[in-house]
Amino acid sequence: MSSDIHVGDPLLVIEDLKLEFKTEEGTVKALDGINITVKKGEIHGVIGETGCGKSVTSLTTLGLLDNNARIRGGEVLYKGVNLLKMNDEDLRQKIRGNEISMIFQNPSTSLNPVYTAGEQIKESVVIYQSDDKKEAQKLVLDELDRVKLPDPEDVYDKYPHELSGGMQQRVMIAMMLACNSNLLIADEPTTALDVSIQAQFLKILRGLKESRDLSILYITHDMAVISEICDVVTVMYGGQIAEKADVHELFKNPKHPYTIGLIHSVPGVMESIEEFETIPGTVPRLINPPSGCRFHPRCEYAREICKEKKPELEEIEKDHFVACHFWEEVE
Amino acid sequence: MTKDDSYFGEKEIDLEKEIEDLKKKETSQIELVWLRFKRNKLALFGLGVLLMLIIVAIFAPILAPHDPIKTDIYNTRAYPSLEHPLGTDQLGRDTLSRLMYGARIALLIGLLVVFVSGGIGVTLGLIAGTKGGWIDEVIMRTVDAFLAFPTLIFGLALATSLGFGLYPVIIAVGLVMWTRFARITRGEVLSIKNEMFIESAEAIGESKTHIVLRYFLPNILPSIVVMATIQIPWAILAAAALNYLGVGIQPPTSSWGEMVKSGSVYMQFNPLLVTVSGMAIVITVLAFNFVGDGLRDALDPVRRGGK
Repeated sequence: MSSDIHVGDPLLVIEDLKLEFKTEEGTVKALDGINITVKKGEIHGVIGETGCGKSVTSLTTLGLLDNNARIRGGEVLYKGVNLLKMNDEDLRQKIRGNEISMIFQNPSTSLNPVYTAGEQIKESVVIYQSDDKKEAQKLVLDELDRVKLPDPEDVYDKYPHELSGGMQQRVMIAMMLACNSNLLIADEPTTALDVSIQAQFLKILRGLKESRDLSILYITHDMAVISEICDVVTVMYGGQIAEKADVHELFKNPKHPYTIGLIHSVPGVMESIEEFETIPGTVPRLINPPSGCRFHPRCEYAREICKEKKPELEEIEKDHFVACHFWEEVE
Repeated sequence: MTKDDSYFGEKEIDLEKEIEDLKKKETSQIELVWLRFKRNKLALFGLGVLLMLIIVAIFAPILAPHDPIKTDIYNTRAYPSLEHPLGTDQLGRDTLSRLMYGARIALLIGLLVVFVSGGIGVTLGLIAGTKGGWIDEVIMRTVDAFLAFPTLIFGLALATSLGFGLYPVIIAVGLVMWTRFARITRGEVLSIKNEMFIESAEAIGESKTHIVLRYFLPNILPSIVVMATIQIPWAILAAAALNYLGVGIQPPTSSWGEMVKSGSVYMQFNPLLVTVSGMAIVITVLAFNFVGDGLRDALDPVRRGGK
């Protein structure tokens, strides 16, 4: 695998990914033509409500999907290699940890309860950095210090349940950092943390991006977090992409009614909003998704054509894509 | 580390306080288990009995007043005396000495059987649980088939075909008992299979074998330990039953099962032999059960009162 990828070059390219789940109730079309490009040294945010396919996208990248998932088309290219065509053993040896690592939503369940924090970080240090015992231990302490855990020697010997949520999450990051991978997938990593810890966590991630040119695919349902940390944002709805733009552009000039709804439903992100609004209705069930534009039952701009024809993703300005028939009318 | 590696300026005050709090309550896992175990008086009593039993078994040659296989035809079926505190058997052998040496056999059987059956059961359970699919089906249907046999008859058949002695008994009882370990292990594996920490281990690229040995096994170990303490008395009982029926360990080696058998023949003349050897079995089995119960509660407070 070539390593001559520079900042700004595409690192992970997900192209027209289609994926279904076979369930007893029927086929769930979880992803329907997803396009995401994560560039080297970029933090790419993916936002959407529960069940819109954010997490599935990230699990597909690492080949960690459940047995009932069927990929129906598309490619996941990492440094030009299609990960979907790789077998599990190759993925494990060449990709997972090595190139791409992942932080999960709930730190308290993501750590092995029977080993101390230090032991667990040592697992990845031993695989990816040094298998000399003494040196590995020192490297673990370095990693703990790097994520600003106070008193690393003490944390080293603590079991996960003896640490607070924020500390557990830092241990998780330290564990993933020790892999020295190029792409970090963070799947709602701050959901289980309180707001002050969350801010520290985001700071660490941004620091990593700057010092190591780490690329991050940041998955969340929190617009505030997106505005805080991301460079580029993809808005997902019902397994499809609704809008995609640079973060400033997206907040300044949102064009998809769903994006606008998301922005307006967060207090304090846009100062001009005095009262926050909600988006009516709930996320569609993807066993039997709405026809045409999947957002039309909840959309105030919806007309006949929205029920019949699926809107294509259009580039309305440079690097600003929207999938809506009436984006010109939307305000 | 260079300066660039510092991702944010100051360490936070609240976290430092948190660490202080953690330092104050330095209680390790094992200490915690011991604290909970101590609360159960029966379990503590059982542990005491077991320790005594182990000491007796180890130091039997020193502690026993007589040679356990030395016969004395002028002093058979004797009542307790200073020379023979628990009397003698039908061949004039000292009952106390034979009991002490019998403890060695009983404990050895208990431990080795659990090793054999636990080894087979846990390995197969891990394979069934982690692999799933047809491998799981084959293993678990085999377990069902084994369980369909009446255990004692099955053990009897196995022990008879394997010949006499200590090891045939151990293998026979072990082959009868592995199924429970397999079931428990598989169940526990399935219950943690979808935990995030397994997934995160996969995400850092750990190998399958490594995940089984370092993630699954240690996490299900408490259940296996509890299972083992419950299985040991079972094994002792089963071995005693086999000895009573005449297979397995043969005289003159002393085993509790064999002692119950010879004692029961002349029960109406001198009930002491059958009583003390029977009591030895009962006390050992109960002690193990108490310890097993105590351990189960101590390792898993959630399950307390259940089952």
